[in-house]
Amino acid sequence: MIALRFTQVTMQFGAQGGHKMKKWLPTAYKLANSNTLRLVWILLAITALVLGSGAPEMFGGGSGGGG
Amino acid sequence: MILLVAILVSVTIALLRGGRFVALTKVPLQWGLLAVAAFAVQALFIYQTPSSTALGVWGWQELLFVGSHLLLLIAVWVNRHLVGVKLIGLGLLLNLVVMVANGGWMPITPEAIIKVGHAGLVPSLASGVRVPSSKNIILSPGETRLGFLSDVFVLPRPFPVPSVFSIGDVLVALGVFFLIQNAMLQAESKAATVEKIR
Repeated sequence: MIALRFTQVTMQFGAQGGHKMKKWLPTAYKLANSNTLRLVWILLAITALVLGSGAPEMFGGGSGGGG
Repeated sequence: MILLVAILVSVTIALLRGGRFVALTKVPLQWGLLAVAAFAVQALFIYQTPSSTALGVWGWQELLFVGSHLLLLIAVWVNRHLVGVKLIGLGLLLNLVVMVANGGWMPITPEAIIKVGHAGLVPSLASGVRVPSSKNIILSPGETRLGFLSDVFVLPRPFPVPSVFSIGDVLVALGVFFLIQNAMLQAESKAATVEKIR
């Protein structure tokens, strides 16, 4: 979502000079628009949603592994 | 852990069916930060050393813990148009109902803990003892309200990841399965459709 937001903001700036933003934050721009970051973010969000919604015994750790 | 396994299995099956991992980047998941924040709050309680809880007494921990689930419900509502998210929401709701009915934590019977082989991980099997690394609290069947919604399904050894889970957890696992299958295979099916039209 962060990446999408960033893209939207950049697009909004596009009319007023989106290149300025690219110039100011080239690294952040590249990072926020990279597929890798989006993939990590989506996986993180889905995992958080699933682990937060579920309530099995044992989330992790412990000698038994668990649920 | 069993839910992490569900995610890994879902991704693996989608890959075997010809899905693409990178297609997950196209999932229009909104308010993901809310889900991450909610689980971060829960993690504080899951991974801290738990103490016994006075049965039926709601403290700030219980309120905050249940409140984090309400944040997740908002995230589910916002994303309800995504395949599988409604199932995740239903599972979350069922888990939340039984936790609220039992003092804010997910009940588990001493018998289930013994059956799954985790009796050595809890300080005692007395009622009101919180189970480490989980949302569980030990309650006898007689003390548990809405027991059928609590952690009643036991997956013992030789299953590599022994666990006890609820019907809500099953729905959450099914939901994420459908979510991932749809996300990873959608790009493939779209490409196939375009190919057919040509």
